[in-house]
Amino acid sequence: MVAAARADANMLRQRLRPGDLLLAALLGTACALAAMRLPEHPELRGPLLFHGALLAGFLAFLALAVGGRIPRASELGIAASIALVFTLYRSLGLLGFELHDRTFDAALSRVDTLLLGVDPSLWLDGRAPRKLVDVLSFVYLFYVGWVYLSIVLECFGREEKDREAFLLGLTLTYCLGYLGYLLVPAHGPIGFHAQDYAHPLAGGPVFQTMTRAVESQGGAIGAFPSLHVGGAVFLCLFDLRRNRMRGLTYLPVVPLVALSTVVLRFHYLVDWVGGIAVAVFALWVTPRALAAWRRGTPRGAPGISVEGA
Amino acid sequence: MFYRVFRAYVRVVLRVFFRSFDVSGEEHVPRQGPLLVVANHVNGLVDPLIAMVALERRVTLTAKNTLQKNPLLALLIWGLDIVLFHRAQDRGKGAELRENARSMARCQEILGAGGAVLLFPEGESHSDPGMRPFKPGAARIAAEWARRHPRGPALTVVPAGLYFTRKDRFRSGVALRFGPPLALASPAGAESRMGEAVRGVSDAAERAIKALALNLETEAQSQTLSWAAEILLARSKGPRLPGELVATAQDELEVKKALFDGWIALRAREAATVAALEARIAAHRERLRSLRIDPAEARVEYTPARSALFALRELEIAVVGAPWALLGAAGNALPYLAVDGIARLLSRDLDHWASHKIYPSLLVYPVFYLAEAAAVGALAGPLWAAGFLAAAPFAGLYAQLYRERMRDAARRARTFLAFCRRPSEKAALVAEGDAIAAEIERLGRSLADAREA
Repeated sequence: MVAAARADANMLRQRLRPGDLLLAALLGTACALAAMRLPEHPELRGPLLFHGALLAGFLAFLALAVGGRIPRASELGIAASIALVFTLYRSLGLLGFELHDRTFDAALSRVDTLLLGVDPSLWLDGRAPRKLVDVLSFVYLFYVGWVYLSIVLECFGREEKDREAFLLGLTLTYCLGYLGYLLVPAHGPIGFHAQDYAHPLAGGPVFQTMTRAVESQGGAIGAFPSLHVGGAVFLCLFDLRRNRMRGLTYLPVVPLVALSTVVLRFHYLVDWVGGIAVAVFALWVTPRALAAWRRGTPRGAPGISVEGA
Repeated sequence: MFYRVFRAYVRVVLRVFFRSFDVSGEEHVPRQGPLLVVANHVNGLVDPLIAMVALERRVTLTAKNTLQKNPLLALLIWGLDIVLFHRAQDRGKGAELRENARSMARCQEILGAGGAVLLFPEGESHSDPGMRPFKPGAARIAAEWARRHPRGPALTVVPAGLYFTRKDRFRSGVALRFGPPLALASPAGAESRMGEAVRGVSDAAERAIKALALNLETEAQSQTLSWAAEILLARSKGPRLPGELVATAQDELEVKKALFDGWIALRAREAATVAALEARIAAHRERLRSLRIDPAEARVEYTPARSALFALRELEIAVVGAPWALLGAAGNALPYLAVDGIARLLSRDLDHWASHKIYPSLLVYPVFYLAEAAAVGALAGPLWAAGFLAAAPFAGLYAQLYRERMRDAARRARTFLAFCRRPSEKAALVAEGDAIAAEIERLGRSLADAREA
């Protein structure tokens, strides 16, 4: 009986990734939170159904993988995980606002004021030159393309051991970020201080393009932690260890991305701190989690590489 | 204080200058107590810097007295408290051999205080394939210590072997290997036995350093061994990301040493086989050279998906990295050219080229950075000047890495195109490389069997 259970557990370890469980847990949490608030907020029915369907679909996909019908190490398995991670960016951000009766902008702004003596977003009001706004808008726009390209390259252009670590670390970074969006929903300074700014942000065509792109996605969704900063820090630090040239290439981009989020009024400074903390935690925990996951996997078993750990 | 600051600065400079900087055997170096480090001397004034950076404890360097003529080096000699020795061959240039007694006494004093001294027993830097005969200075210090301290504390004499992949090349590799301490016998007081003790220490040190470093007979040997090592390393390490080394200096040294030991043993037993293998290696190398293909590159799997990912990956770095690389090239062009000019002007032999690059760099780069920052400050204000000063070293290093990456990516692309034109060539080159490696391994095994028998 015990031996059979152990064999089952080993088989699950071989055919699943730890990141899969994280994603399923996050979806489960989102559904549970929505279900708990449903009696008071009937408008949560839509998000609950959506995330419930996502969870059911993902679990079905995992069941197929466990049954050996879809190899999880294949490109299809990786693409499914990544697609789910980025689908949740918008849906969980919006769900966060619907779960709470208020946003946490005031608290985040207060923390910034405590940290710096002034809310940086208000301090920058009227101080950001037009050219800087344009340059940072370009950086903000560029980041989105860059993050997708990096993910493709990291997932498909790497050895399996690097790919596993990258996938888990990235999933963990985003899952923790989404948890922040669910529990601490905030619109960011652009929404919270909309009435307090004396000057509108002034920029050229790049700024206009960026603004249109953000609005087409439903505007600023989540603020704490900043996943722009967290994701960029994760990508940069991950590559500094494994592909130094790429890491160094991203090194100057990270502060520019961070700066753009504050100057363009999307984030508070404390969001950076949260984003960096999430990324560093993900980098720290990933190799340990992978090692623990693999400890139970028989050596040389098919599926996730054991030797490369 | 000066020593620590200088060591930290030199560490950064050496890490930039050498693409591969490998230190091994540190466990043989005691952290405390009197220590004499003896090493081979192949790269002028760079050798002591490498040992200084590699050793985790303060070490007193030694040098020839004629270096004092250079006012900047004189300042460094004073700042680092370097012990000067007067060499017989420098007699007409201000060397006074009598002064060596004082230098020896100074070394005993440093050791007596529990310090460490670094000496190069060959007495001079050179570019010979093998080591030069050892001078007795280092051995005399050790023997004298043993005579003076028969009941301890014991002096630890640690041999060290230095190896450079290309000492006339910026961004080459260096390996420093420390060996187990030498076993020293006390000369038991009698003056007549002192000479014996010195010879004994000198011979032991020579044997130990030869075991750690490469000690070849001729230049031709060096070339054949390099090619054979390249083939073996390409096979065992496989292709790397563009911009990354296939093998470190340490890997190269280990393979070359093993090959050389085997080659020496086999030359007498199987002369014809060895000669045929040498000819085959040379032919393979010539074939690769004519096609302009690196041995490791020939082993890359060029599937359409991998090629597309490769193009995407390199394009990403080329585009995103270009601004930093350009900034780095612009900010570092003047000091780079200045140092290069100095090295060209002063270098008349292989073993001083790196010294003429590294020592001027220690001064030229900071001076140029400050001058450029002042110019930026005058044009754009102090904030930009501070930004320039902070970014210039990083951007300079980045520009160099970018150049290496793009060069390697271009080489891989060229190899890909060459194999597209001649699809059968790839398999033939890999098969020949494998066959040569298998033959080397077979000979190695037969040698091991013979030794066992």
